[in-house]
Amino acid sequence: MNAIVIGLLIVVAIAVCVGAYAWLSPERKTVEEPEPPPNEPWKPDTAWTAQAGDEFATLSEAARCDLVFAVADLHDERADGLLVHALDDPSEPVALAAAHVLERRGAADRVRAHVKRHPGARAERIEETLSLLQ
Amino acid sequence: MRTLTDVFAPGTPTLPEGLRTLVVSPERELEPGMTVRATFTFRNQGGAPATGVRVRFNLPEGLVYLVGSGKLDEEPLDDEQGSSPLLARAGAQIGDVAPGEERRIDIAYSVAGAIENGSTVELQAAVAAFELAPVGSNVVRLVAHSRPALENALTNVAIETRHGASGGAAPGGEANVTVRVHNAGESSAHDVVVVAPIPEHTSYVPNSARVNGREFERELLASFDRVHAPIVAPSLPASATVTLQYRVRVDDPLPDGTAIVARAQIASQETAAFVIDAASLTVRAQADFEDDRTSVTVEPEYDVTPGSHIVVRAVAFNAGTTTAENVSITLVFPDHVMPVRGSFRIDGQPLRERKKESLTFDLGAIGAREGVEFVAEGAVLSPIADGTSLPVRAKLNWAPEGERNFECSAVVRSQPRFSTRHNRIVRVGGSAVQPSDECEATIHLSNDGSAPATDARLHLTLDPALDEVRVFDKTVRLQMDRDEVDLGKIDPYTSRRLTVRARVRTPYANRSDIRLGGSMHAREAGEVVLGEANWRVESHPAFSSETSQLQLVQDDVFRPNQLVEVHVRLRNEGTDIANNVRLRLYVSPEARLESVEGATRERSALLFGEIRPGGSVEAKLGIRLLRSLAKAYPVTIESVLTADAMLPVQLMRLTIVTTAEPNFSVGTLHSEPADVADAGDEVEFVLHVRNGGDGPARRVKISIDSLDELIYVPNSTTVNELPVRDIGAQSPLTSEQGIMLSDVDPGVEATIAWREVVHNGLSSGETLMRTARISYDGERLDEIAAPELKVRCSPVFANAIAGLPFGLDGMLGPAFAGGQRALPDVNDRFVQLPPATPVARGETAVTSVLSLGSSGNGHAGDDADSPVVETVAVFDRERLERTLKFLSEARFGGLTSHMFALRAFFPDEAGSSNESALEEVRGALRETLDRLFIKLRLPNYVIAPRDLENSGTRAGIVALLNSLQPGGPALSSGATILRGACDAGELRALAARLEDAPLATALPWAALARLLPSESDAEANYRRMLITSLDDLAGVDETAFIDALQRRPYPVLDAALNVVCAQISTRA
Repeated sequence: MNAIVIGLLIVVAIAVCVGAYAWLSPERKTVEEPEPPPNEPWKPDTAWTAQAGDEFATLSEAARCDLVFAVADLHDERADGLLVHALDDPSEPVALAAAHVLERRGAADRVRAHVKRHPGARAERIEETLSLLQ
Repeated sequence: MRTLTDVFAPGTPTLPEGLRTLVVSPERELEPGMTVRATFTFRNQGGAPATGVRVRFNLPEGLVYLVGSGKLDEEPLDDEQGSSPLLARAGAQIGDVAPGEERRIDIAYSVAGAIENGSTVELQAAVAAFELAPVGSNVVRLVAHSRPALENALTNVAIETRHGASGGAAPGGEANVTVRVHNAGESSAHDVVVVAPIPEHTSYVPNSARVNGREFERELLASFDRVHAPIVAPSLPASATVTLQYRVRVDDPLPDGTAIVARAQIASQETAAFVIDAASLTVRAQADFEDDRTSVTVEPEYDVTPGSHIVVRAVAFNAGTTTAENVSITLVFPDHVMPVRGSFRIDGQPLRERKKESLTFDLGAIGAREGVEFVAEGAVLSPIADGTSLPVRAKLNWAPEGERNFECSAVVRSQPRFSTRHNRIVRVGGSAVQPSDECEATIHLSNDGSAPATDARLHLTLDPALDEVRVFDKTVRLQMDRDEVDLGKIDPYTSRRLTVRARVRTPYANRSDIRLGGSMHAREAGEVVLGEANWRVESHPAFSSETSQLQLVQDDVFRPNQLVEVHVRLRNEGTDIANNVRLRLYVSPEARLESVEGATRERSALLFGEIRPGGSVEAKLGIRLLRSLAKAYPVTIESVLTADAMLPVQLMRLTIVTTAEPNFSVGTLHSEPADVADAGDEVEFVLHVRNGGDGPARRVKISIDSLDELIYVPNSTTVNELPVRDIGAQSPLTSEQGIMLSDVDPGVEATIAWREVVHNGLSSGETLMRTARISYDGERLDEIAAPELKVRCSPVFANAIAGLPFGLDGMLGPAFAGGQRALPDVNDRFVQLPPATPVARGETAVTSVLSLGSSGNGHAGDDADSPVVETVAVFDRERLERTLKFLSEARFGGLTSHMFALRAFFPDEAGSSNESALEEVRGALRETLDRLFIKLRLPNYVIAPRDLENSGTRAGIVALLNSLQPGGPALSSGATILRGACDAGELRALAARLEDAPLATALPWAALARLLPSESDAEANYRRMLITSLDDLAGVDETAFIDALQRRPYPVLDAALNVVCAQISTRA
């Protein structure tokens, strides 16, 4: 009797432990992925160069392209931010340069995210041109 | 129990001294400005901690807290609003003090600037806690030491008038004497004594002494000037000032410059007597001529006539306080006033006459309240304008340095005057004038008065016979307003001579009188009558050949029987009416007067009746030319004009130019047959000529040319059917003299005929042209041409002449010399070109480029002797599609497209080793060209040298070229494999050249082009052409290379690349 009771108690204790483990296990928690921001129409950003310095606030199209390629050699978060902002440059070649540099830096996902968030003919052209440069 | 707040309250006693730990420095005495430091130390000698401990210091009068000096255990205590919490009513909280713990409080004071000598300052501190009542420290007493300081800059004496000290004092005026005593010390001065004697040359104004504004004599119980060394202030605190002030009257008179000196001495109980710097005031005394008693006047002041005298009276009265020395008066007369010699008097006494009179007169010394009268006269000069003000200026000078200017004036009354003796009209020249003659008169104007005559106007009384009236002032023509002339202003004593010219009106009756009157009016002088000038008119009619004449209506050359129209114009240029005007005509016998309009004809005379002066008459004559006139004798008309009371006038002869000439221009020449004649036929020519002119021809020559195509028929020439003798075998028409006709009158006709035979050697269809020439009067030549005559022939076969039993060569004539050309076949519609010249196949680069045939060029594998580096590029389907699409997108023109071909076909493997160098160059190439690919999408982008190459890229290419080893790479697998081969030695040589080649030039690209695939003919062809193109550019600079990249067209190279792409896509 005692042995049975003891055995039952052990079984109950194991069951309680398993239940508690299951209840408290982190796997139980549902992983809530952050929702991507909703798509929105692309708006040109002409002020992104100012982030590199006030003296870069007004640059020509070709000069902005050069700035993008110059930033390509800088490996820090600030440079990444600058390049991401350059994706919104009103000049499509400048945005393409930024996308190209980001891809070469291993940040192709940011380019893809930008393209997905701002779908349209411009984004398609940039994506297609990037694929040509693979 | 007193709280800490209550202690040190004003009026409360000090706390019992519970702690004797307050240490003050200094210990005994203090002086103004000194710093007093206090240190208070206490210890918790109990067994329990003291909580809420507060410490407070008192702030005695005379001490000021030294900001920032409060400290607790050497640590500064924060001040609050400039004061230490140690001095606050609740004291400074310093927290808890444990048993046995000692705290130290420091504070510093500054002694105030003014503190009475001997005053005592008590310092005490107190400490309290929650558990303990306030405990006082020992009381430290300090004694102040200070003294007054009366001798300083603010202690002074001053003397001044109401206008200040700088203006000086006037005799008899008042001055204030002020003695200020200032205590600049730290303590009060007691019994301050001032010794201020009344200054010399002044007297004290009774009861004027004030101390700090209050009456002082009441305290003195005596007059101030009689008390020596009065006490002005029993106590004068530090920084205080006492002022003693009294008034004095300056003695009168006093010499100018006298100094009034105020002196004073100061003393007190604490201060020994001392003298302060004296103050002085200078007396100013002067002579005075400024009041109304000194004057300069002119008599009379109005209506002063030119030539009269004015009297200048000057009175100089010294109203000042001292004698004026060297008084003189200077007169300044205006230009129109001349001083009268000998008229100067002082106090009624004439001055001595001097030849060179100066207008400065010495009046001597004038004592105070004394005066002098000076009189002078001046003559007013003429001329002078009416109303002119004559300012007379006078200047009174005296010593020392005194002067006064005067100005008075007199007003002139002046008038112009025009006397009849000098103002009149005078005729110039004789009295007899003719109409249209010019009359001239002179007007003399002379202003004898002393003032100008203004607004002068000349009024002329003009006779109706006068015209074109003009008025001249010398040579200047004056503007006339109707009959008036504005003369403006006539200055006094000036004359004007005006000339009046007028023309006698024409016509005008004979024996008429002409008058020219005048008067002048001026504003000041009124009207002045100038008289008049007279003339008498003499007038007659007159004609001249210049204005009276005969004239052709149409200026032309006239022919016989023509009616010539002639205008007759007569004009009376005289000044009187012409009566019974008659024009007698004398016409040449070759013409006759046929008609007259506008006049009465009386045989050969024309009657015009009466013609007024200046009037004209016209008549038109018709003159008929007779047929008998000749060219050499022109028709003339002469005329004589007569009228009453005038001499006959012969008019200019009128010559009518005539002409009469022959004319043979109209005639006919025809042949028989008229249009066509067979070879060998006889043709008769008939020439009809006629003198169609209006004059006879003296000599007429008719001739024709001798033609080879026509043979003259002898004896066939006739003139009006009369045979004419031939000259030899030729017609006289063809001779040099031709046929000569003489005296051919107008309308006479002549018919000349002759015959000729058509030459049988002529070809059919030939045209015969026969022209006759008619020359006459030696200068005129007319030609008459016959209609064209065509020759007609028939074909004849040789040896087949009818009637001849033999063949006859040579008679066929030139018509058979050449046959007609055969007409081309109707079907031959196009001209057949000669065959094209064969072109060598190797001479056309285009065909070779476009040919896919094997050329073998550029494939190094063909050269078996050289070490070969083989290249391989492997393309799977996806890469191939992407590459072809990339190449299609990268068509930017020029050589740029082919640089992207280098990227596209860059080998994956080359030679037998060194993949890293190949990979490095591939990466650099891709990065460079990808960026360029992006930049070229910018509109109008111009490639920059940095877009092409940098030193790193160059080094990588050199390393690759040096590292490529001969051999073939391992066989790769893929959908499409592009193989190439290049000479290793050539690559080494290119690498060596690249060491020295400048950046951004064509050489590295030429080297990379060698790595292109060349397996197929198209690939080899493209590779070879690209290498050639880049090698050609290897020597140019970066600018020329970029120009070739972007601007120079390479159509053949583009086509070759297209072929390669097409072939590769096919292979895939």
